[in-house]
Amino acid sequence: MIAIRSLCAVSLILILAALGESAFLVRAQGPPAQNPPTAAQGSPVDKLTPDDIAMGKQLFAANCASCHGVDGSGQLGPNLHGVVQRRGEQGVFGIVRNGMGGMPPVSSINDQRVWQVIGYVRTLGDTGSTEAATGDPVKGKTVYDANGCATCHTIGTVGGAVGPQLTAIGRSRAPKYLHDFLLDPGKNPPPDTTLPERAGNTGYLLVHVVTKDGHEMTGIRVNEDTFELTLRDVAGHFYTYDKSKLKTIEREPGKSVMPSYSNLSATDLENLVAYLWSLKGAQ
Amino acid sequence: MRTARFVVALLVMCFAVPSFGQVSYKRLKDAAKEPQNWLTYGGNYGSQRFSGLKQITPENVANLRVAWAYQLRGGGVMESSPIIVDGILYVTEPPSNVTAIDARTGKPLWHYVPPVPRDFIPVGLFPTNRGVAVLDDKVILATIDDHLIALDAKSGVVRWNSIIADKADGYAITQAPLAINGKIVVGVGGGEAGAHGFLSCFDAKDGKLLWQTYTVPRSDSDPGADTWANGSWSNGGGTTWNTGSYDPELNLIYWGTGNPAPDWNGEGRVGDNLYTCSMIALDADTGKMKWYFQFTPHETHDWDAAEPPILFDATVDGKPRKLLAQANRNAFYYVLDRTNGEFLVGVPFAKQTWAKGLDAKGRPITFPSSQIEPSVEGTLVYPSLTGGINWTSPCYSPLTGLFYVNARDGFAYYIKGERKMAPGNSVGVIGGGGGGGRMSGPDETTTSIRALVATTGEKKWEYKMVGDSWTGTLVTAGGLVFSADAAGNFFALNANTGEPLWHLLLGSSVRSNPVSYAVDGKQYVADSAGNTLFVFSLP
Repeated sequence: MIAIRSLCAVSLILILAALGESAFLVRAQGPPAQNPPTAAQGSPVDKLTPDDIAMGKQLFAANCASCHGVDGSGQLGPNLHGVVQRRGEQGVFGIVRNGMGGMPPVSSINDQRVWQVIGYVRTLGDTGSTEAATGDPVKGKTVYDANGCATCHTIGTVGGAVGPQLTAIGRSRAPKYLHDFLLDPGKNPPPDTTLPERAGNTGYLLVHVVTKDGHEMTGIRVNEDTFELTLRDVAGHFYTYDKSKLKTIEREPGKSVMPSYSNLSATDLENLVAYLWSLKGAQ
Repeated sequence: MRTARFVVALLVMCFAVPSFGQVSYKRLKDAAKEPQNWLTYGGNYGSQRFSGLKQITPENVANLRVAWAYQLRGGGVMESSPIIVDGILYVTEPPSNVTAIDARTGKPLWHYVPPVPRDFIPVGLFPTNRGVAVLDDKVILATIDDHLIALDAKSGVVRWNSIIADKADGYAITQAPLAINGKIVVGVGGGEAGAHGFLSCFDAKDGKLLWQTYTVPRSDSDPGADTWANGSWSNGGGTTWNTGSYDPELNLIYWGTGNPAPDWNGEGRVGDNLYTCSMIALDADTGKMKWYFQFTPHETHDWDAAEPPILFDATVDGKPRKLLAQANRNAFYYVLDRTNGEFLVGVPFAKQTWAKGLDAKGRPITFPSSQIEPSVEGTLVYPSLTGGINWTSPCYSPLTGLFYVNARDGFAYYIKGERKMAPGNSVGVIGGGGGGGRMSGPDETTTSIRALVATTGEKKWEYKMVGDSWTGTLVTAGGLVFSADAAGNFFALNANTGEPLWHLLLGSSVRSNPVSYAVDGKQYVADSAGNTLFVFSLP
């Protein structure tokens, strides 16, 4: 245990939505990074034909699905929905070639096949819906600013780091999902994306612990293994506990540190959804 | 005087460096007599992964520290179970490389890289390797592209190079071969690529094929063909992708077989689909099948029976029996009579929701298909695709009579797909056919080290971990069980009680089987995490 500090309940209320990817990224391991060969010539993925995407799907099934799931939603390996949008095509190429965390580098397929796989994986990040937001994104930004969302969330380079970045949230989430999430953030929590190896876990899980000597703490789970538990408070402090010294560990699934925004007017909510959905930028 | 000093110095140097010893079949058979070495993949022919060493004990294990570490030369994750012979450690690296290391100091001695074509894509498995075999003066390697290669143990020079299978037919190999009397036995992977499973036996002298036995029919007149409707045996399956065991007295080889193809969709292959998801016992001289036992007839969830068979002798109902135990991927623990395959015991060792139980002959009594069969929308069944256990090894201690297994309690939504197969398509166009599944995430999956009474499967203790651990187990005469959790905490438990005694975070998941050995009277425990082999000892 590094330290014990009680988490102020008032500050919890300020913590906002948990959608998409957080600020904490893990660097790729392995040999010196191999740069994508065509980085200077635009995206090879944009040049792919439907047949290339179909081949990418088959290559994915054969080489990636055993860890990332047949639909890319994650098994042993992380959920890949939206990964191309978040990390960029070149970034994913680098991960495929150099490996990451528990994933071995893939050197057994040629560059064109890697791009075919990336082209297919990019389709997994689509919202899968032709649905468009109906609100006014410009007015939605005003709602975003007025409600202090930036206290916890970053868009582009501006904002807080308690919740995930929202820079490209419109690429991976449909308007209906955003709408429902704003009303009930605990109902459908996003996966843990702080660390790739934990991507199958529930993200932003609230955990309340009581130590054997009587101290209490509630925080967002950052890491947990058989022996230790690491929580984070809203100020970004990390607390690591030896589980054998804890009296109780209460996980609180279904609860989110982000409050419901059911108090917004229907118009404000619609506009906020439209603003979030308009965020398609790369990091 | 000066000359005498020089000779003394030379002698000291000679004693200080490891020497490459001959590993006769007799030494392999009597491996228990030299606990300082780890001579076969499973530690002995019974695959017990029991070390007779007892320097490290429950009393002093808290002092365990890293003696040395070795990092992979290439990338990837090390899944290799090292072999240790007289102070030399042989470990494999992805995809199929071998490194010989001074087991006391960690200094590499030689490194061999086989000519695996860069464009070869194995279907349905990672290009990795889980270890070598040793026999006489050779180290034997099976490569990802289906070669069996004998290396000179002293130098890594190739002595012979034989072809086990044609990679164009979907075969790929990650397992350690099994060395017996003058012979090398090896199986194949590729059950998701339309490969037809077989075991092959090669002459250890020159690499000539001695026999080859298929695990699935190759024609309508072959045994078992009547258990595949409409000639559906042609899709293959029954691969032999994990190392088996050997009983020198009975001269029988025991090997588990994999799923029928296509997986997750059994509509086109009505019948039991022999000899998939089975334990087969073959005569080591001829390859002839002595008996088989099918754990999961007409399997549709990818529950291969490739898990290591553990051989042990014990008294059952007042009679001494030669037994074979397997913790099966289908979540049941089985005990068979290894002389004839008679079913003796079958009880769940991990959570399962597919069978009410087993009948008197060990055949599963399943729940209705609507509850368990893969469906288009996905059917929730325990255990998961990866099973109650997968390729990692359990262990058995003759001192405690306990079988220690890293058991997984997790589920999958099993999804039925198209039945198309493309046998041998090396780009994996169909990639297993039949479907797949979405598995329970780390928060929904628990892994536990469970100690079972080996003769009954009764749980004596369990040690629960957080997350989905992929580590085998090792048990020592010192009274310790070693394994690791999903985060990479390598730990020691009291073998009698399961009490945790020591752990160290190794910084990446541990996807391998721990081993123990000794050099110069000092006991070591070795296991890999991520891309690094860690070796531990007392100070």
